[in-house]
Amino acid sequence: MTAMLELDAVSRQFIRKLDSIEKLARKLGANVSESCVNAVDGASFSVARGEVVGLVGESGCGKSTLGRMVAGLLPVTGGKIRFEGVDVTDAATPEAKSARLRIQMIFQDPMSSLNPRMRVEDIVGEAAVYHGLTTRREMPDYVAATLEKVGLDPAYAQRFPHQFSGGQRQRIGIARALAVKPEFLICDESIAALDVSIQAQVINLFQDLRRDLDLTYLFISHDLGVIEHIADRVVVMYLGRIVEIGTTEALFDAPRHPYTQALIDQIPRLDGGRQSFRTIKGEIPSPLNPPPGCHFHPRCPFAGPRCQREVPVLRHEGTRAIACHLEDGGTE
Amino acid sequence: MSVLEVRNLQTHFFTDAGVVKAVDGVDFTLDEGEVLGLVGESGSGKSVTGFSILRLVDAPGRVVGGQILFRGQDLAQLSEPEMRRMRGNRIAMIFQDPMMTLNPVLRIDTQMIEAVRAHERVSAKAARDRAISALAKVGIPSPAERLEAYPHQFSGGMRQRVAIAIALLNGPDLIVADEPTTALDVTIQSQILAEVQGLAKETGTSLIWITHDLAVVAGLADRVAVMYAGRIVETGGTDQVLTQPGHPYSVGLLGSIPGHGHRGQRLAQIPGMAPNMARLPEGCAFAPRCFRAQDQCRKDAPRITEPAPGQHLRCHFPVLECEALS
Repeated sequence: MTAMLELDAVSRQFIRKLDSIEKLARKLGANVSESCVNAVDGASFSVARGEVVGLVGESGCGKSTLGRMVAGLLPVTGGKIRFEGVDVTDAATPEAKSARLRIQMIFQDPMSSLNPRMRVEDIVGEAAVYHGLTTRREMPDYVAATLEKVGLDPAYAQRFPHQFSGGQRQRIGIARALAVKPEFLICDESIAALDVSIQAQVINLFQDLRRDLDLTYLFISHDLGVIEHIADRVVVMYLGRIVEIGTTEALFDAPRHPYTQALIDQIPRLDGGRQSFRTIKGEIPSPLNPPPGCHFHPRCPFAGPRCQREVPVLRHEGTRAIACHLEDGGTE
Repeated sequence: MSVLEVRNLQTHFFTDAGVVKAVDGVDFTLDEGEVLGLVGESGSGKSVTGFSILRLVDAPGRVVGGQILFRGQDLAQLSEPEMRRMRGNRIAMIFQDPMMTLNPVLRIDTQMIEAVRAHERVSAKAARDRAISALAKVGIPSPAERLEAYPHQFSGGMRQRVAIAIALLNGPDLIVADEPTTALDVTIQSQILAEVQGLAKETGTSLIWITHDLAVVAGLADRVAVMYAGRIVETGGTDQVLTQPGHPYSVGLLGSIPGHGHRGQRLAQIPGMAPNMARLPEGCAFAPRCFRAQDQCRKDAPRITEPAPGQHLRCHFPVLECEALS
């Protein structure tokens, strides 16, 4: 299995620069410094062709930032991203540009990611014409074929986004991504805003497209039920770091990192009957001031002194990878 | 005696596009200490039902018919001052987004003490003590200090806890919770669910939990009511609705939920989309999307039937026990 997408210690920092008053205050001796968030901290994993990799974590864990870096929407501050062997870390190079055309992204909120003043035909067809996949004259037919692929009536091509329901709008977003014939789709919470019955329709659509067009997905979601359903492999993130990677079966049946265990424990289940909700204490800490050592230790039931001192490394064993001292010589 | 009995509740919105029957003939009862899960998709009328109980529906909406009997007293008939004495005191509500319900320019203590003293003549000190104990009950660490904070100084989960604490302040008989955990992360959601579950048991408060997430209801509610297009289409015990749903919509909704041992398989989706509430089809509103619909469904709206004790259905051709979920 050769990797289609490889991430090698990819990091992204967000630094808030000091404004002029704070700079002045610092010159006068006040203790102000630039605040820095490590949104993604040394993330390494790979995605094989034809695979669906699920990326899960709570809000603020850096999963969307990671997705945007892979899509080339955000520059990388450290590490390398390779797509089919081509280094696409710097989005400005010509090789990266052509490689990146094959990576497309589908966003969470179709209302804010579709231009409300453009007709569906132009939204879907614009990029395809620009990249020479079709001509302006043939665009209507091209768009009609693309709309059919996502289950929309081509007769809707002259309408505006506000004339559609949420589920249909998401289909337009998918059609726009498919119009440039991508091989790799990044779905960033693409179904989170939809109703349950519409969500099921879109999940089925993703699976049909995967089969028909031989697509590879990076599927970002906070919803573990969706990830369990759609993904082949799962990457779990916590506060900017990857804590566990495994095949879906292995990860959901036997989670090994305490955070993954807690997450899976807490999915409300249909078949559990009346349950008493087990909880994990505390909340996700502020990424501005993350705890030292293992980021999870203040909430971890198994934390020991070593967890406060030392950052656990992601250790690979076959298809599984875990970043926890429990798996690596204990927490003392 | 039941705490709440809603009979044929009708809330309509009079818009330029026509009359939207957001709630159209809803009946249910709620016993002492019972947790009712009110489930539906967006636009099904579940939130408007909750708002109607507290008479919080704004123009152009209006409760146009039906009774809301709270301990035998019809809330629809109360004068506005009487209703004000009811709200936040005997009946409380928790909203989806606590940032919208907490006043951002007032400290938590001001807001909590106000809520206590609006209904009872107690000293500020006593009200403050009650606020501290309410915050402690919902699991906020060092409540006395946190009382001095402003809403923006809390995280989303903590803010929702504050909102729950405010709802609990006056020991209400009934709490209406409108999607209170939808905006929260899984770990925080399960913390809040655990708190609410414990509190409802401890205080004997009846609870209406409005949500789109059947899985949340599965662990929490005693009974479930499923709404579609302004009507309750199925009511029953939680286990019964989740394992042997009788209404085709409930069957479809359950089949739509991913992640239950059917990895990678197609989900049993419901075709089409929710109807336009201003132009509902004649007959059963679900008929255009229903896999069992026949001519009768497109002509007459089904009445409520009770095929088994405690199970109420609004369907001409309910799914029988033996074929459910197959």
